[in-house]
Amino acid sequence: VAPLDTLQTIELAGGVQILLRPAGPLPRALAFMLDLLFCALILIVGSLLLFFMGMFMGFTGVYVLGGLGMLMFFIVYWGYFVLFEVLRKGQTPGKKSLGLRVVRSTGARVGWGAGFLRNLLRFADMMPLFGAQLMGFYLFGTTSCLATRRFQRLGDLIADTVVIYDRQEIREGLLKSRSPIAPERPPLLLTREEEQAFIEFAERASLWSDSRKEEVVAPLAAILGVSGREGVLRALAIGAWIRDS
Amino acid sequence: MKRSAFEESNEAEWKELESSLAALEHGLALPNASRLPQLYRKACGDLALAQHRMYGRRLCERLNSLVIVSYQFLHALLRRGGAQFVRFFAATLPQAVRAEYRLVWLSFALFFVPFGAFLLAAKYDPSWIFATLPQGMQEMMDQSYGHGTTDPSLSNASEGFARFAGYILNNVSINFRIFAAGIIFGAGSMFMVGFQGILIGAMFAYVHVNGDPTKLYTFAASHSSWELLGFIIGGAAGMRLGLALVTPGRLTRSAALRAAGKRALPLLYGSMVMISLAAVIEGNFSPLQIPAIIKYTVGIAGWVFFAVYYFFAGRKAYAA
Repeated sequence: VAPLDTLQTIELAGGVQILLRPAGPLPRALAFMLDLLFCALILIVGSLLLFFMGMFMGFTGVYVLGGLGMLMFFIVYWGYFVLFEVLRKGQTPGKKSLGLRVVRSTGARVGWGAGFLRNLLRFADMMPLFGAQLMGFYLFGTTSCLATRRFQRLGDLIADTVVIYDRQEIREGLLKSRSPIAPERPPLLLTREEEQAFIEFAERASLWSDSRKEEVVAPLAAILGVSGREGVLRALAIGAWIRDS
Repeated sequence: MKRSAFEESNEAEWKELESSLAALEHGLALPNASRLPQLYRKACGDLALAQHRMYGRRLCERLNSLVIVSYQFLHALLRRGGAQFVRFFAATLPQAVRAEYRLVWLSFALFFVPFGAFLLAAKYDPSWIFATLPQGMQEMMDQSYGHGTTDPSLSNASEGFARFAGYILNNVSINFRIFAAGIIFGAGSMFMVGFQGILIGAMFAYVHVNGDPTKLYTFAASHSSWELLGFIIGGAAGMRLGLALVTPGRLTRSAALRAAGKRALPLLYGSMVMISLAAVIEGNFSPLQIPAIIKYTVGIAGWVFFAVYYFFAGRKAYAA
């Protein structure tokens, strides 16, 4: 059954289907901001270390420390994302704190090739650029994200990667309705899509206000020939019955 | 089977898989590693059943993430180490360059046509050079390669390291940008390679007109082939990305982009290595005060080496 959601179905070699939940531009932008802060932190701490080393090494150390400083900037600027994504299983610190992860579009880990490609292409995704070509407005990347089904920026398209929500945590408490409802057998034969719709409604209903519930359930209630508050209660009961029987 | 009965009868094995994965996540050794594939297959089967029987989101997503995480561990890349490395330079790289020979020659021309044009301008109409090269760079060239100024030699050994780091930061960054800009229908890479041709051509021509060319050539000869061919090959890799958008052939554009990424990757690695080694030579060998003939020999040897390497390496031994 096709999922009634934005989930992406992926078929693995074994024939089993898994579902990935791609992350949109907003959480990814936040993760990027956090990563920028972290990069800045690394550079500041590194520069201070070099500075203190310089106080002990005197004039002859200037070349060595200057060189180390430039190499440090190079590695952080071009390597931060590649190293974290490849060595930390697809998660930079920023992505980790937002619960995101980069995976290949098959759901497998990113390797060096994919990590390298998607992060070099960041330069193109960041366009238009500012600040001596070091930073950008991400216009290309955002456009590409919004134009593709899996929210892929240009680097993702080339490296064949997706940024997904890492754990699809179900907040158990939210999904339980406050007053337990006695399961009710559906009064007529339902198609699989309809059964699925009843289950999904029952599992999410507690997230909505009462009037929104009635609005959402209207097509299902129409099948049952009822409407309004009664439709909500009947749909919840039928959903529970289908799922647990 | 009721959902609760299904959960009860399989709970033990899911728990076992979950704890194994948690242990792997923390890098611990597994006492029962050989059971992992079996548990994985079991979870795959259970997920398919749970999805088909519509056991609900909670159960389906639990099994779904069990399968995803197991898959990631079981299909993790094996480190293949040295053999892979040798094979890359012995065969993969030169083969990839030959496979893109049209783009590499285009890139070559984009660099060397403006470069040559400026050398001609030095002879026939130097006003082109003064109009192109910014004032600041003209003064810089005067300082380094003017008549009677000090030679660009190293004051001490550690200066070589500082120069190396500067060249890495500058040149490898340029190379990465040349590559990435190729996604703009190839135009970005073409422009940036051509721009390098214009800039470097104007610098050389300026020294021909206003400075001491011997100083420049003895400095630049040794690393010239490494650096210029690095830019040219990086440019070809970028153009490959753009070409996938312009002429995807019988693929969709996104499939063409994926394929182009795979084809461009060896070129990108190759150009990165060449430019990094150019920085080593440029920082440490090029400024040495040794007879010009040695430097010219090293320079010419570099060009001959790359001609032989890219035309002939990897044709037989590793032919796939």
